[in-house]
Amino acid sequence: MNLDTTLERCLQQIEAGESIDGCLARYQDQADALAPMLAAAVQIRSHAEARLSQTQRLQAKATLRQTLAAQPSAAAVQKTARSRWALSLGGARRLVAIAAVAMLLVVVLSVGVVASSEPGNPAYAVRVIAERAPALVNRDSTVRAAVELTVAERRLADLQLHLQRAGRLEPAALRALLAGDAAAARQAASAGRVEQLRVAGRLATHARILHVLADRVEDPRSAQLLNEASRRTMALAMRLRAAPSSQPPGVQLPTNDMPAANRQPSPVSTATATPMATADPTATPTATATATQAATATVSATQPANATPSPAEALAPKPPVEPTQAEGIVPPRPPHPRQTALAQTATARSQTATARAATATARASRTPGPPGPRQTARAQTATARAQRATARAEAATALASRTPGPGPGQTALAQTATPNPDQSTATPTGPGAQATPTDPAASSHPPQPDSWLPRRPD
Amino acid sequence: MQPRLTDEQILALVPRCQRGEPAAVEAIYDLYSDRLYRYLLTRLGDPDAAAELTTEVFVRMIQHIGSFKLSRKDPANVFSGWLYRIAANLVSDFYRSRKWQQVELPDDLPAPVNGPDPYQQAVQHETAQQLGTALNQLSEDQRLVIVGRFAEEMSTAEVAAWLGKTEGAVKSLQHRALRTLGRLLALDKRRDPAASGEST
Repeated sequence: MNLDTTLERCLQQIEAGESIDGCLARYQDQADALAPMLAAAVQIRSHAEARLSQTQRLQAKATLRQTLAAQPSAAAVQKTARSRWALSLGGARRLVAIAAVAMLLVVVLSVGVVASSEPGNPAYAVRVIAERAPALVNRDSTVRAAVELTVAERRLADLQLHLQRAGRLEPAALRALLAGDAAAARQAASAGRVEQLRVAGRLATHARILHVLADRVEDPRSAQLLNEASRRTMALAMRLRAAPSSQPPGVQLPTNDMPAANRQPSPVSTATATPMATADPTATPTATATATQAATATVSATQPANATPSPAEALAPKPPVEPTQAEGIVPPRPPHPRQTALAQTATARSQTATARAATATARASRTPGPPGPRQTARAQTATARAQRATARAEAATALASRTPGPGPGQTALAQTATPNPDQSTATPTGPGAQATPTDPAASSHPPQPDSWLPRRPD
Repeated sequence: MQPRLTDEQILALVPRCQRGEPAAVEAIYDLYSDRLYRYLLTRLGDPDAAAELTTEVFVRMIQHIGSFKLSRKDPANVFSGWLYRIAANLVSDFYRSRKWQQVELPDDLPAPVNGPDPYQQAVQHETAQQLGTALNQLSEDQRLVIVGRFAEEMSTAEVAAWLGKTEGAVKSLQHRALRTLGRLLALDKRRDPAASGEST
């Protein structure tokens, strides 16, 4: 029998009342090993009857009552715990609030820095991308074209500002301008015909302004880049004007209805000589054949087949591939004589207003030193009127081409579209002269240039 | 042997004790004071110190019961284990504080007239201290098994339930503890043959 079993049996026997010696006598062979273990067990068991005396118990209970009385009440403990929790929670809330305010400050400052960035600033690229974001997320091509044009006009204003301050071109702004114009043309190509013409008009305005800037800038390299950009933008406008409409079949193209007498020379081919006078948006090809010829002539005149890429080509994004002008053109319908006459009148008046604007601009630019506020206002007003007249002429032409016979509303519209020669020749000096509230076409035009350069929109 | 505490008793008393009800504190004291006293007496070998520390265990219980989380599973044994841990910590503190303390007895200490025999008292005190010293050499599990089995007269199954161990593990702990205690106590007797001869 092993020692563990013997020990267990001895413990049971001692518990039953047997003495240690009796157990050891029974297991004599293991007595030496068992004796101290049993003695220890019995010694410990001697404490089994130990009890606290009544006096000790009473003393202990009195001590416990005193301890309880000295202890804060349970409600107080719970309240303290709650207040600690509330304090820690309040601290956490404060931290979160501070972090939120700090983040808000960072965001606001970042937005401020980006929004106020100018060409040449590292944040300018972010601003360019951020301002184009609404156009990238919108699915409506008309809205996208409008946004792209607006953003492109901001780039034009940036370009002007940098030219005035630094005397040289900022390639980033020019690149962004050309990209915006190209994107607007791309979006307008899938929009309605009226939208195409509107975008084409604004692109032509951009081209004119770029050309004027090229004439003004002293740096030959910048002038070359601006001329190239002007040529490209005008080519975009021309292609858009001549592009087939995406409108449903049966909708007439206004440009095809223009009589042959109204045909104007290609704006791009003559832009180098007199940009303001010939870059008139009403100088629309009047027939399919004419449009094709004009576009071809433009390309051949300004970009020889074997010519190396100009610096502006390296800078500017590739213009969108436009469908050829001959594709998808609806056969022309004979215009109504009354509408045609009105359109002719509007075109002629628009040309007059444009010429006057050019004269005012040239006068302002001939004056030595910076142009005075009066001259600037004159040139600005004249340019605005020219653009409004151009828009009216476009609208009248579009109306004439869509309408086989004149209705009373159309006649009234065509009459309204005719610019008042007196207003065109007048030289208003107030800022209100730039916009005519009754002119619906004025609101769709780009912001007018400050003196001979585009005004930076807000 | 005191009746074993039930889970229902503990589930009823501990929350009241946490709310600071004196009646609940006294009820817990009545249930646990003698057990803890025996444990402390076994460890210390000094009845007065054991009684003092027993009171101190309940003082600490009052101070810390607010942070005690009552277990739904086996609450009586969990609470009991908590109280014995307090007692064990107090014993450690007791030995640490009295390690080098020497008690100076006056030369003219009068002998008690009608009390127990001073020699017998001294022998009993020394034996209890030897046992306490030997018990301190054990692990806490071995100590609790020995105290449960012999001071509390609990069965192996009861000790197993109290400590959350199997009966086999309790038996093994008990045998190892007794061997160690026997060896330590036999060594003490060999060092002091006179005392051994007197005691036998």
